[in-house]
Amino acid sequence: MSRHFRQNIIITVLTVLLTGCASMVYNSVIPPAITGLQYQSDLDLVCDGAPAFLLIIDSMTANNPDNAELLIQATKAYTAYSTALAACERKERAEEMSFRARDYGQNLLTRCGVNAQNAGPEFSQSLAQCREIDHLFWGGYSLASWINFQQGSPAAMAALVQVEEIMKQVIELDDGYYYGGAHLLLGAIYGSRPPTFGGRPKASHNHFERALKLSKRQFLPVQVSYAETYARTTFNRKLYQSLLQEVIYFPLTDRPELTLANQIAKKRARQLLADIELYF
Amino acid sequence: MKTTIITLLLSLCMALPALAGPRYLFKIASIAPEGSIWVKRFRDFTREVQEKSNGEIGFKIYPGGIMGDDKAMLRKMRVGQLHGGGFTMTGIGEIIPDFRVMGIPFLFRSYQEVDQVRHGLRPHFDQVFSHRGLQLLALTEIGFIYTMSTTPMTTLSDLQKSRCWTPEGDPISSAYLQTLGIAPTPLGIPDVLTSLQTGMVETVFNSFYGSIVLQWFTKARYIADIPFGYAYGAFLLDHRHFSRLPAPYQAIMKKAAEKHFGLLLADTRKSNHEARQVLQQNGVQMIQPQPGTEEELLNLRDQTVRQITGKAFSREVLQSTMQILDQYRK
Repeated sequence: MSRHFRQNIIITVLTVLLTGCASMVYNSVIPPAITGLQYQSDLDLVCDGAPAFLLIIDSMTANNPDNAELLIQATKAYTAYSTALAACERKERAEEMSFRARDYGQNLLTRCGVNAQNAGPEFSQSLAQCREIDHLFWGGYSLASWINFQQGSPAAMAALVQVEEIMKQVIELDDGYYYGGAHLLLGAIYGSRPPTFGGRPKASHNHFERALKLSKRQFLPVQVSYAETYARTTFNRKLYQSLLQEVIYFPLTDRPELTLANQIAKKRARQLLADIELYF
Repeated sequence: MKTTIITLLLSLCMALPALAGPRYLFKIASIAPEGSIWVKRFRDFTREVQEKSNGEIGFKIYPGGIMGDDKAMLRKMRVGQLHGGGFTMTGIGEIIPDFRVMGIPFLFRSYQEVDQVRHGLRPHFDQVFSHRGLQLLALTEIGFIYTMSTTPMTTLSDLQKSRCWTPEGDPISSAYLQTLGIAPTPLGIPDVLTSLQTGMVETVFNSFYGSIVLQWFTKARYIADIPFGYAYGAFLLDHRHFSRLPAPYQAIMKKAAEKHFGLLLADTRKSNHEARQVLQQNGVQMIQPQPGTEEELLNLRDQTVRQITGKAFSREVLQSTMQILDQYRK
């Protein structure tokens, strides 16, 4: 047995061992940690404590680039962390993290055969081939969270077309996926602008109502986004107020697995209600 | 007892300014959506005015077209329901025709030329707006407008064969397209995207940034690389309401408007510059017209201008505009 061959075997064995080790760590740490994060109600703790965990995910995805499940978890974790940072009033850091979330998300879409670099016909054609709902939803969701921090930059506005098409595809596959999240995003896209700027208030209303139904009114980002976009654009003060009050009075204990998202929604709802005279 | 009454009166007096709110309230509307750079800069402007007037001037903002289009906003200003707004060139052109003059096709070759004319015409615009009971606080910009189509076009004949859109209420564009031998389809902005999708229109006009925001670029994949025209707007206040402000407060408003709407202008130009690159990254192609096409278009433009001068805008404002441009180009 030549020295060269022996070395190769050792490397192969080591790689298998390490991959096995990584997958053990992955199975026992990452999904429970992501799930655990969702039970957390202390926003500051999430903002301060999540980085160490994100570093582990980064290094694991770098060592296991073909592990799709790991990529999905990384996209979810960075998207959630970026949203939490914004709620912790750390906007600049939130924006930086949204770039990471977007990059992981684009990787997910690319793995599914989607040409995510282009919002033209090539994108639409490639999108039709992807039937993996996890890849589509989290890829599109991370892109939307990045757009949110871009203050209407041309690149973000072009990417909005992609989010819209991705979410339509998600609805076609399973419109109840992640508490009707695709309806929530489409409602926000169509409701955030007046018709002269490409908005579609009626479509927005329909998507939000469907998202409320699918989430049983327990995934509070739906109500907040409904108020912040559709109700404001259509100058509907009554709807704005009632949706936000519903969020404030919702007991977090009713859906403990959604605590983090609902806690962020409650904080935003309080801010929006305090600003009501500014908008109506 | 007397002390108690005095204390009570004093505390009431001290509480009054907080209860009363701003002494001069301005209700301002715009079709620009919340979150857009227009609204952001406008809020910066209001903050500075509020601060410098010690809270005596206050604002209430209605973005996103909540108060309707240009015409509806003007109507509401006439009855005192609104005190100002961000308007487009086409909306204001109906009541102040001279304001349309910078919309003549192929008038400007650069932003430097635009700035010369904006600056040179400002005293005239101030005067004509004031005659109609309006205070011009700032000129805003949409940017250079390009011809965008679903198939590549390099000649006038290509354009003539295409189904062209024209914005409603823009007599200059409509007259020019007719001179070019085109019967355009007038449509409101919200209907253009669906009309591009169904093929009802094949050629549209917009700024680079506008074509992305309205998603027209997903269908109109070819852009003729010469600016067809220039689109702009104005931030106007009701003159009577503005005149009620003491002179120092009027000065504060004007100075803050100059600063923040100056920044908005720079933002808009940056967005259009970036948008051109984003469009190309997204597969949109910039098309060079065939030699001679531009000259042909300019000759027909001159013919149109002769026809509409005195109707779409006054001869005087056209002369002033051309004088400023000629002087700058020397």
